[in-house]
Amino acid sequence: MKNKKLITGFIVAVVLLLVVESYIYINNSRQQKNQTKITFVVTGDNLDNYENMIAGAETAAMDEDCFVDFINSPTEYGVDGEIDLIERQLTEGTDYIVTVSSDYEAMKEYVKKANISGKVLFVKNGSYGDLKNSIMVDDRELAGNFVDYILENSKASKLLLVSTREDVNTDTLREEIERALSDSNIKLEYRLLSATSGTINQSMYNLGQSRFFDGFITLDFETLEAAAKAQSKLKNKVEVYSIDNSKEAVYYLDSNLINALAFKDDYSMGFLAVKEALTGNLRNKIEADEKLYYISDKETIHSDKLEKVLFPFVK
Amino acid sequence: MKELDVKRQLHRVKRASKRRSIQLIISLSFTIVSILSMAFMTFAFYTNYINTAKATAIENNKQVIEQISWNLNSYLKNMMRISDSMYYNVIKDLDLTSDTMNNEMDLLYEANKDNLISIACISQDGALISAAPIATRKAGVDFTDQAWFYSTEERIENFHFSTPHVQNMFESSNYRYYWVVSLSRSIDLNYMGYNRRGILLVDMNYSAIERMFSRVNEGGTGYVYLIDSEGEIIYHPKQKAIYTGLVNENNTLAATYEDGNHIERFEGKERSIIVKTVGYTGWKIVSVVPIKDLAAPYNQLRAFMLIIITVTIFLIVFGNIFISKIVTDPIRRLEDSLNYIEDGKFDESNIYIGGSHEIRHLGRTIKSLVGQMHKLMDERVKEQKEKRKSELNALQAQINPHFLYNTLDSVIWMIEAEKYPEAISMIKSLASLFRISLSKGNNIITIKDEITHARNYLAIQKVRYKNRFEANIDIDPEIENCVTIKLIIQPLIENAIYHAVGEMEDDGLIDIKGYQKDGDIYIEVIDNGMGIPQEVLDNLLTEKIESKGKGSGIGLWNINQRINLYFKEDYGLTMYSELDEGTRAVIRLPKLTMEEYLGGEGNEK
Repeated sequence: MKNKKLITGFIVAVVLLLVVESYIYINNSRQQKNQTKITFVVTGDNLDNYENMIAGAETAAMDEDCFVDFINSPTEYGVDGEIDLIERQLTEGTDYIVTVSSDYEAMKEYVKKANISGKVLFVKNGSYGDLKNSIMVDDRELAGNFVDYILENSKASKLLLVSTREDVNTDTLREEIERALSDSNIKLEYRLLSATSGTINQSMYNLGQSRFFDGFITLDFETLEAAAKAQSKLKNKVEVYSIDNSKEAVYYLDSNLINALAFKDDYSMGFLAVKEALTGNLRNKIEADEKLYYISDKETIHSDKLEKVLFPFVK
Repeated sequence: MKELDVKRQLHRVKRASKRRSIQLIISLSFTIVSILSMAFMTFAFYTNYINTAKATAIENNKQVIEQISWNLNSYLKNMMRISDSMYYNVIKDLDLTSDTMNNEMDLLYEANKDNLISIACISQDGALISAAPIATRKAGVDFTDQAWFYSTEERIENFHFSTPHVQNMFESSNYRYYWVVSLSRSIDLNYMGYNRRGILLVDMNYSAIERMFSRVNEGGTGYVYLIDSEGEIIYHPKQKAIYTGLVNENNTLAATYEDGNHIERFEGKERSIIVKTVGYTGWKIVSVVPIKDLAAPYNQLRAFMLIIITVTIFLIVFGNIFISKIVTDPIRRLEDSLNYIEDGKFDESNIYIGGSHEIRHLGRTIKSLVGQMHKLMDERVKEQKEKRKSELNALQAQINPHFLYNTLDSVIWMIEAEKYPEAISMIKSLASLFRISLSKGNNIITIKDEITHARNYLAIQKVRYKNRFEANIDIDPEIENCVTIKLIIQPLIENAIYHAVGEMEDDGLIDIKGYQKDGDIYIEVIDNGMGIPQEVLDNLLTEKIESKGKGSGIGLWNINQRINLYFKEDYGLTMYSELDEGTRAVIRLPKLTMEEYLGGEGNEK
């Protein structure tokens, strides 16, 4: 009778033990399969423009148990389109959002309101040091160093600073360039140009042809492209200094159509955004070592270091 | 209070552990031995399995590296063949003052354009002699400043493989640029029989190399990278991150490794490194697998094994408890039997016989011993009882010499007074008294004889006491033929005379009654004497070691003992007394005829 009780108790205990251990085992397997998902919501009509950032993010994700996805919100939808995408991604279970927003201020406001600041990282477009959860280039430092380069290498006495928009991404650069050149021998004038393709190209050509200015400092892609085209037509009569990180900008520099390029390192920003999302503590260390931007000219574009940064691998 | 409880529990555990039952010892030692053996075996098998798995993984990586090495070698040999073919079959035969090599170069390029970006022939002073495909030379680019140019110039006898770089020789369109690895060699150019040195440059498509490696790096653990003999990275899955300082690689040290397996510690992580040098180039293919990743696929196995081990340990513990219980249960039951014996219960049927052969044998032996002991003890008790009976009977049979002297004195007096009939009657009574006292040596007589004996005694004593007391005997005739122990009524009468009515003037009364009640026989001797004080009465029937003379109570105790010895303990003598009222002695006997008694029908103790 006692033995029967003992055997019954034993069987019950073994079954319980197996159930508990199976639960732990299955749970453990599930946890192993649960990847962290990081979605980059970026502004723009073509993801090709984020090739470097994608490469950086994917490289960072290689060693981690995480999945990185990039989706773009067409420019015409503005920040609303980006917010819509973010909301959809969060609903679908994305763990972290990394955003390159067309309207940093509006996006910042939305993130605060939606109380998702712990899940959203701001990259590239925005104000440096404004938010904790952001990986930005220090535009003031970049502008300061770029002006130093110009002062050292330029023969121009009058430069035109051009941009097609006034926003958080260009304002800081403009302010710092104006400030840095204010005490120099170079006179600087700023003009906001129309972004319409034909108009801006003609404007830049005319400005170069007029000889009112010895060169241009372009703050965005549209003015860079127009300046490069004008330069091509003008046979290098003017100096062109650009701040941009498109492959076209690198091409123009390599083709001698612009004199120098301040290039923001999308690759590193993509890489750091993923690491930051996963660990939350890498940024400070990396930032201390890396500036996340480079200043290159014809002499240095094919240097050992810059060549690998400016020309994405394997086309 | 709680602390006290805990202390008490601890004390109990400590005490239990000290007791160390055989079951505890068996189950504990078996469990420890089993678990240790199992742990050792599991550890040995697991370690062996993991090591084998790691070795297999390393071997697989080796094979992968062999395959890449073979592919890369083929690719590079093909490039060298192109260079050879261009040089030995075309350039050597040309007089550059009159001939061009454009067509041959184009043909060669077209045949290999999947793997080639360009072929170019450059003079020693950096002038472009010919190139395929035909493209515009980039303005402002001095070929003599290129790394491939001066490395070729430095050692003209060799093939030179550059590290990957963006081709910076020709104009490109649509923002295109090409990553290449330049294969350069020094060549002799013929100008009307005069040799001038030049360089033949084959720009290999870096994509081909990248594809080879990225295919390998797509799956599995770890990664493979390619370095030149100086440790400069040619391919790495995180090449750009390394160049931008985001990731570090141990490539400089890896360049010093010989071909084969190595274990290195880099950035706090132990890694398995396999190195394979690629033939002519001195390039090294390096496979890196973090040691922890080698075992990573077995995490699931480890979890599964832990479950199996836990369940097995549970089974072992239970099994040991169960088996030790089966083994020790008979011993425990046998121990319980011995406890009975220890308590003085010599009942053989209580001895447990069961379990294994040895325990059964032990049980049977103990049972036999207990049986023998029981028999010896019974015999001993019987002997003691008989001895006791003899002693008590002998004691009882003693005739008070004073009684005999006084009686005979009374007879002499009667004869002298010529009271012959009285003297005769007294002598008859005395003779009858002695006859019944002897009873042919029998201790059991009928109540009738015992009453007759009492009558004779009363007759003698009445003469002696000059009829100072009256005696009535009232015996139920139905009990007269029942048995009694001899000489149990006479001592009671003697007590009544000596301590009660003997001293009274002439109203002393002794009543002797015999009757049956509830299947037993009762004989009462009642006197109307002064009674016995309670404290004396309480001690009357307790054991007396020796007689302290008249009134010591040894006679009453003797009667009680004898009844107890001959019959069950329910029977015996009880004394009742009240001061100034008298004393009543009650004998309780079983109702047995002589035949029944001799037949032994449960009367014996």
